[in-house]
Amino acid sequence: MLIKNGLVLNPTASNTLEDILDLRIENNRITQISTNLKPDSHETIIDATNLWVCPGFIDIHCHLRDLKQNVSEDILSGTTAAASGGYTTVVSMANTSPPIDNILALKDYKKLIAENALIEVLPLASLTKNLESNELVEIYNLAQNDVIGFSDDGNPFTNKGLLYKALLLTKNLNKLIISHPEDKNISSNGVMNQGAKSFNLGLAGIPQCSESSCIASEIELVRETDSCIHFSHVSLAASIKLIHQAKSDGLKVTCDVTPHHLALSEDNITNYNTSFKMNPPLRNSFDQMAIIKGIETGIVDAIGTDHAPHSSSLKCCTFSDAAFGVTGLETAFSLVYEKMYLSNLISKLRLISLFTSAPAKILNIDSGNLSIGKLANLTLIDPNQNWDLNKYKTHSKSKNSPFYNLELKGKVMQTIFQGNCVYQLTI
Amino acid sequence: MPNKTLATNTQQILAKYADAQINFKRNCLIDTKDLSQAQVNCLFDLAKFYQNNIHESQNLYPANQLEYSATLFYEASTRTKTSFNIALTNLGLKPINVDISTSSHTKGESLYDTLLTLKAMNVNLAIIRHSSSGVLNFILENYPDLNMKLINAGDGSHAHPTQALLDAFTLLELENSLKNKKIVIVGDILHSRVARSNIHLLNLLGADIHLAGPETLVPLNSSEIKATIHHDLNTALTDADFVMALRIQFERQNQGFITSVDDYVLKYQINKNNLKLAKAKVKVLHPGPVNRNIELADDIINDQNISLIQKQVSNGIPVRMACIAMLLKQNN
Repeated sequence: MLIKNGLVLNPTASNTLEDILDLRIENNRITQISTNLKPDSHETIIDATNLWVCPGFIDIHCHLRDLKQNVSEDILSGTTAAASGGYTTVVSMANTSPPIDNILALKDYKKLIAENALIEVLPLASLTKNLESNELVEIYNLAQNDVIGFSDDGNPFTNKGLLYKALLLTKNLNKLIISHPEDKNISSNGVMNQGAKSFNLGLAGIPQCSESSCIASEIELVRETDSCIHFSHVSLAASIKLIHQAKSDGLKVTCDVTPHHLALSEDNITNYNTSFKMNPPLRNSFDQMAIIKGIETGIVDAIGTDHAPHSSSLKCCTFSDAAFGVTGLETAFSLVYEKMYLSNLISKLRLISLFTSAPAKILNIDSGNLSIGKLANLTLIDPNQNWDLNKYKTHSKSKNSPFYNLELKGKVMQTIFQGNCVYQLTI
Repeated sequence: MPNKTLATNTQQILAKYADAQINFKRNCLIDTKDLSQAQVNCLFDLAKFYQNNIHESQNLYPANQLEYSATLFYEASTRTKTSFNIALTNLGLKPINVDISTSSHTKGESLYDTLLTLKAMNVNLAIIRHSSSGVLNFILENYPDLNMKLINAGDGSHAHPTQALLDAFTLLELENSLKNKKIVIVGDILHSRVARSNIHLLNLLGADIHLAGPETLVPLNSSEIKATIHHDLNTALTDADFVMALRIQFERQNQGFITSVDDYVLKYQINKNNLKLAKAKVKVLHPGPVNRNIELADDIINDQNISLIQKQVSNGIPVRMACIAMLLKQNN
């Protein structure tokens, strides 16, 4: 396969590329990147004129469901949605039903993935059994079975003593712990950001310190154990400040933010629309600005979608009763592209790195890099194509996105996974 | 036979406001926030008329009409439910009380499906109380084709428009205008739909609104909440024209919002002693039900020169008649 005349964008530091180049794929791998490559006979040619050719995207945080929640999403629909969003690797959360908290569950889930996934799925295991913060999972055993890391996401680690020990147990295994920073005693029955808006709507508020106080305490565990932790879906100015300080202190702390927290604030919540209910909640515009600034200054490492599909029965109810979470795999790139790149806050390469080399580095995987010899995972983007979720077919089984009826800018046109096309835009 | 006077007068009052946009948005009364000055004036004109003619007849609507009005109370209620029923009856309507505790709700039927069922039986007005904030907004947003008139009789912590209307109506029996009148709402503001609807309506009427209560039960100061926030009751009560106490819910003490009822009483009970700080003619309101000697001392509740509580309850009927009549007349 020969991809011709695209703007090749490779953000990997050791081989940074930003040039109009041709790229050849043979036997699932990238074999040549150069100008004016001549097609062989019978070789498939993709004309990438005016397109960006990027490493396949990596999502460090999504919920693929399946098992007992396959009405909301299954591995096939979830990875189809991911491929249409430009992703070739996704990290799936362990809060499935039943959860991935033991070897058998991990093996079963991996089997489902092997049989159904269009792209690479790296499942996490939970850190504690049934994500209840009472008892650790078998960390060594799960690590030996190639789990990518551990997370109780959906739930925070309420037992900091167990987290302290887990940080020690994982620190020499190269297995990441992903934190869902929240103190449930503080967030309590809250359903949206606490403030004037929650008061006016008569909805229970989630105080900001439910996130920031958790980050503060977990940073101190990392400091003492000299381990590392990744904070997902960071949503507050206060959290960015704490993470900045931790990084300045030389701690191995990383974080991601979601596209929806970049694109929206609580001001966007209208008419109790449950497609705007997620955890962490949409914050105020000051916090929104702070996470945008966090990307600009490099404090924020990566974009994680927190793709959280829910069937209509879980969302078509009152705001208080609705499940937390929104879909995100299909809209992620366009939202960040517009908010960060079209606003001239970051460069093309930095934009692409948020989806590729940065999450690869956090996860310690050999992906997100367009270099000769690497597996051919690629995403082709038309930066000038506008689109919206209504007109274009969506691939997730669930429709709980706050971005319907919004013109999105920049469209993933084609996704290539290990040399094979797994997504091509068809209108 | 329909009472010509009641019907004619209703038409005449509505006609007075024909030039103003007095139709309720989307055929529903959800919150006072959505009301205009003209709508409030029209409602109060109607209520005044019904108040004076309440015993005259039962027939604003012909006895053979085939449309019904239903009350659906998913939360307990004494005064609001009874008040709506009397209001409907006074207008010659046939109230259908859906007994939620024995309805299909107990079998898991959703509010929407219940409304559809009622609509199929010619119920064209539903008066709903529910524990979820925004439940009517949810219905309108997700089922735009329902095409039924709805009145919010209290949804979660969000809104209770007819209570706020009857409160303002009661105050306006004593004052020509509420402009710059200091009105102090005391207690659990955070969880109170009555407080929210009153804040919107009293702001529309130009009142000077003050909120007082423990730091855990009163919102933080914000330009988006048009009221002055107090945590010291004495400061709040000073020179008040009207004081509205809210009911303290006992379950809040397990959640840490208050440490104990006695502790709350110590700092926030309104009694004859601290009420001396208010204006001499001060009146006290309470949406009920009252916890006697908790948020309000007994001697205030019992003092008819101070307490407007019974008056509020009585005024609920004409005010709700006005809301129902105005809503049913629109688009007819």
